[in-house]
Amino acid sequence: MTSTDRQTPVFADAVGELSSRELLPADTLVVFVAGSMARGWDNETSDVDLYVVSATPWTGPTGQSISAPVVPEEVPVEAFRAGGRRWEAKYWVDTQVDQVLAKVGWDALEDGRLPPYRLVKDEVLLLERICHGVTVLGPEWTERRRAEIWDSALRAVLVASELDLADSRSEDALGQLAAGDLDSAVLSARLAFGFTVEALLASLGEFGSGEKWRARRMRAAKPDVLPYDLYWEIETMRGLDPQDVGVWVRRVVSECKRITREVDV
Amino acid sequence: MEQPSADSVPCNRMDVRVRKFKGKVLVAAGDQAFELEDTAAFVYQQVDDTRTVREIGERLAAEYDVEPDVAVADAAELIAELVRARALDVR
Repeated sequence: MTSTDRQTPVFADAVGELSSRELLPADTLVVFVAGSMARGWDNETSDVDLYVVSATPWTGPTGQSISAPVVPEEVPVEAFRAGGRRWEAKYWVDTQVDQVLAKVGWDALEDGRLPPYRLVKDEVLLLERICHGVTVLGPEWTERRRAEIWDSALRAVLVASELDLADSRSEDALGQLAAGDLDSAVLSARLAFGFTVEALLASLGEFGSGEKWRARRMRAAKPDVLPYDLYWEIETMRGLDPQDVGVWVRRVVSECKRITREVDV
Repeated sequence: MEQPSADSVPCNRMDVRVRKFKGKVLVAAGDQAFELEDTAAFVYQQVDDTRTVREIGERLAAEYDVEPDVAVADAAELIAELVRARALDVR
């Protein structure tokens, strides 16, 4: 059975599953399937992640929610089991999405500088999932929001933030190496590489999905500046010689710097 | 420093922070930060720790349609400036 075969019933049934459980707001603007299922990366144990955006706040039966720095602060969450899988729906309000996007608007530029990084993880995840989700209700909404995200400073803000972290960890790695703190230098170089790859992926629109999907995202993005084989060699620390870790640390930092010089913020 | 020879190999410094933003190349080296002019940015981006000044100059000549000798001299001058700014080393 292919991934697409498994997905088909989920995409077809998503609105029906919500509706039959009275979990679909009357003023729903969009429903989309997100996460691994939407990307075709799911497996037998994967959850079904749904996003529902409505005109007014949802007041669901369970009262569970996550919080985000927007108004209203609460994002209700409903979970249930169907078809042998766990389903989870997050309920955002359209005006909350407006607020998240306003944090990465180009009009937030000050003195030609990028706006500060002000998004929390769930906000980045929301925007990533709008970009990569499979819409099952309200495609016009998704199309409009994707255009807004594309036109925003989101990618620039994410890339700049990741590159700053990458540079800091690279400097840590070299400093620790010079001080003879070899184990710490290895860890710092590894972190620097991770941040650098995240910056590269964000520059190509692959952001927000976390480390566990980094290899998948690298395969999807196919960045010229970092071929997959080289990425995987460093990610898995294949060239690390325990007798001379300095060679690996310097090489990784050098690769981080090379990639950084190529990435468009 | 004096101008590097055509056979010199400019190298990137690992303590430099670089950003490409809206078509500009911004460099933070030592205690100063500066934006590279177009030609300097092109030269800087050709530095890969293996190309010589001559090879970079030849790329500059092809990019800007100028005589190779002139471009190699220009590349050497720009690289010398970047070394003075602590953005590059030369070996």
